[in-house]
Amino acid sequence: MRLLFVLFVFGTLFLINCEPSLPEFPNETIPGMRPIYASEFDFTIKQESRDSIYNVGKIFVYGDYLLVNDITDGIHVIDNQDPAKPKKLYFISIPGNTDLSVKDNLLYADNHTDLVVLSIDESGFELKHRVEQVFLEEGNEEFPPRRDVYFECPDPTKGKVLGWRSTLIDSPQCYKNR
Amino acid sequence: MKKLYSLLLLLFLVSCGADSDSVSLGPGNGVTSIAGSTSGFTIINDHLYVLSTNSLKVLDISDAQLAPVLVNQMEVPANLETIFRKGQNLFLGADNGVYIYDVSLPEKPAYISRYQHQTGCDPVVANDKFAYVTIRDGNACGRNSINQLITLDISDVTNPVNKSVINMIRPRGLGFFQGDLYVGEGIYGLKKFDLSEGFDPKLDTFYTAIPANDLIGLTNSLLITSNSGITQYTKDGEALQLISRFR
Repeated sequence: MRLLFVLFVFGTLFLINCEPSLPEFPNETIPGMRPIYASEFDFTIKQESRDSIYNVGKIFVYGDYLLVNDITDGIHVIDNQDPAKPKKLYFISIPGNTDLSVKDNLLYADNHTDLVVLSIDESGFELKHRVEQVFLEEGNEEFPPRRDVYFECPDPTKGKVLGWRSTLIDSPQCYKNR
Repeated sequence: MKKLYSLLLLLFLVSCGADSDSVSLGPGNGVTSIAGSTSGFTIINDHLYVLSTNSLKVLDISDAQLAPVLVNQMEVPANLETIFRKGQNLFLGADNGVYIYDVSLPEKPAYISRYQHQTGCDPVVANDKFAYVTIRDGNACGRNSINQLITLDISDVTNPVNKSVINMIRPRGLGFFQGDLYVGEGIYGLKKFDLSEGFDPKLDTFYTAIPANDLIGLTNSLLITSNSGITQYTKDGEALQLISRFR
């Protein structure tokens, strides 16, 4: 089924492409879109023990502290007062997270399609606010609403697609031209 | 008497509440806050700017007690990837160019200009006079295999002018450190450019043993991300001295 879908997208691209060539499908993590499924209920933010950073993403320096995104998983909070001896404090599991910013000890982060605000200190964090659907975009079951965009191919076994979001995706197999 | 006890208890609780706020990260006001060049979020005073594929969204975060309020949304005809803020300007890195917005009115970003290019784009950083943009291949129409570092003269932000194009391997994030421009070439290494003439960056050193996806230049150290973790360096003459590594 997925193969058919990819073939369909390829075929469509081939017919309508500005030039008779296919895009490359990079085998790396790049900006793109991913479908948000109705069944996707895991917006839970929690502290989790994680010794290493699996996929190093975006970074943010806040005073003597360093925050590192673990791509689509959450944020590591690191004490970097002595850059020669950085000390991991804790990991905040934030499903879908790829971006962050901090002001006045408040961490702003994306949590799938929501924006969340967490107060942070040396010992831990607390979820303060959640703004729903800041990052949700319309679109249909098969395609994201944008042109010239790589996207994660929808998986029918995961159920109905509610919409799409712009995020980092790993080794995409689908691409929409227009 | 009972009332007095209640009052005392209440006071006790209130003071405990206040105490629990005392341990905080950073020294408070004026704390250094720096994002890597690939960031899609930026905060300016009471406003948070975020990117959603085709739009720049503005959220009011002035009251920490309240949830951020979405106050504006600007449609931008591009797939947006990064935000860099310089003074009152936002530089948006997109797949078809660099868009410059003025945020003197924080809730009403005003479009100023666009530098157009036709390929997939990575981030942009800027100083007062120049913006530096990296472009990496692997995007629309498959016709481009362009990997470049582009220098734009932005002394007139209404009309960014291309001053220099340097061919690169596969450049990613970039940033300033102690007067120089550093550009990550992913697994291929890190390049240092001399900015004595800002309009014409000159390759000074190619550190092939330092993989770099993105970086942040701090006062005394350079922070680098790569697929294998985080490394920090200090500058020792012309050499970069590794001071820590973790993942």
